[in-house]
Amino acid sequence: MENDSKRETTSEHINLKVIGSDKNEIAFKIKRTTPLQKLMDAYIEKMGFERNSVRFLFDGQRLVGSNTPQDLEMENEDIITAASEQIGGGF
Amino acid sequence: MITLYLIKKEKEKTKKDVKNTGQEDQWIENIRKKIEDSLILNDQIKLNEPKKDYYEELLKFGKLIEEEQKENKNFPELSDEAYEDIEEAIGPGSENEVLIEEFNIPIKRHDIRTLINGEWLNDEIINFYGNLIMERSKNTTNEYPPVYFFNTFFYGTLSSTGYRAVRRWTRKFDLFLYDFVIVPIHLGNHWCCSAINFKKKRFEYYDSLHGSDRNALYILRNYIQEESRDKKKCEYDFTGWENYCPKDIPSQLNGYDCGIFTLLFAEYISREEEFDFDQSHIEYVRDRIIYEILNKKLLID
Repeated sequence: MENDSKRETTSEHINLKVIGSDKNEIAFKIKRTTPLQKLMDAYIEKMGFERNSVRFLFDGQRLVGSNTPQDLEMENEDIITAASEQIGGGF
Repeated sequence: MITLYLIKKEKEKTKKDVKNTGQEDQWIENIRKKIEDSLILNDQIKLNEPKKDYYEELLKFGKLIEEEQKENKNFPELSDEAYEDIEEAIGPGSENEVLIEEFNIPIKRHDIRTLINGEWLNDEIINFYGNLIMERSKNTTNEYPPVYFFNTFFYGTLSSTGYRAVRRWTRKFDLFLYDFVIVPIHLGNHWCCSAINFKKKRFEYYDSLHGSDRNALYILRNYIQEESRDKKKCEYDFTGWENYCPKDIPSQLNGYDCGIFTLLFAEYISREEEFDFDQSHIEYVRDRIIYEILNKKLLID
């Protein structure tokens, strides 16, 4: 999608890893200014998860789709955690 | 007694006044009237006795109401309108519909429905409620201590991956500025509440099934040590610190309410209030939490 000259500009793109609760990693490369919704959708689709059962966290803070890597001051190779719904009642 | 006294008095009076027997009829009539009056008076007193008891009952009742109102400080009543909002939130309706969004947490009908009596609570509810507790403690008009509430993923990440996995969770604030750090613990299918109490120097663990987890308190102690080394560049001074795992705390009497007890433990800790709830309050508290989430505000200011 992006042209070659942009791809070379490392400051414009960022490599991010999403780690699931099963510790599996998936790497993504996205523009610093792209909303993370795109990354989340791609992850959910790739993993075959149900949308409502996954929460994405960065440094413990919940991500929303409109956040961009730039907003969150993300750095290259930063890790996003994909956590699953937790439920509990007792026994 | 009153009657006899009146007769005696009337006799003395008439002895002086009546000089001839012609007036005897009159004073006998007077006495008779006085006796009748006093009998009526006696009856009235008798009639008034149950009224007096009733008055005392009312006083007693008033005192009970006062005590109840005092208790209600911790259990504020929900209005009819509140119950209407709660019913509407539960639905019918799509379980994917987002009903409220705050703190980056979209609360869907699916999440609200975990608050229906008998259901197991999910992480979204616990984390949203934790944020409400933090918001309240930031409000300077009340006198609650500063409280930080880690989300439900903190403890699992810390216990499975170690300090480095959560090192950056606190990079934007100083954890040591809080009086209480609440750490909800998710154990497979059970919720518990632990807390780091900087005021009383205690690692606390509250389990509505009265279990204990020394390991969790050890992990939290170790976390504080690592956090101090990382952020303060010094060893943490644990002088006077102890583990606190009380068993005489409110307990769930079923297999589904641990999430509510966990939130209540956290909410009471954040006000430094003594636990005065039990299983009988939980159904009400479930409704109250729905209402509080919909309004993005805790009912107890």
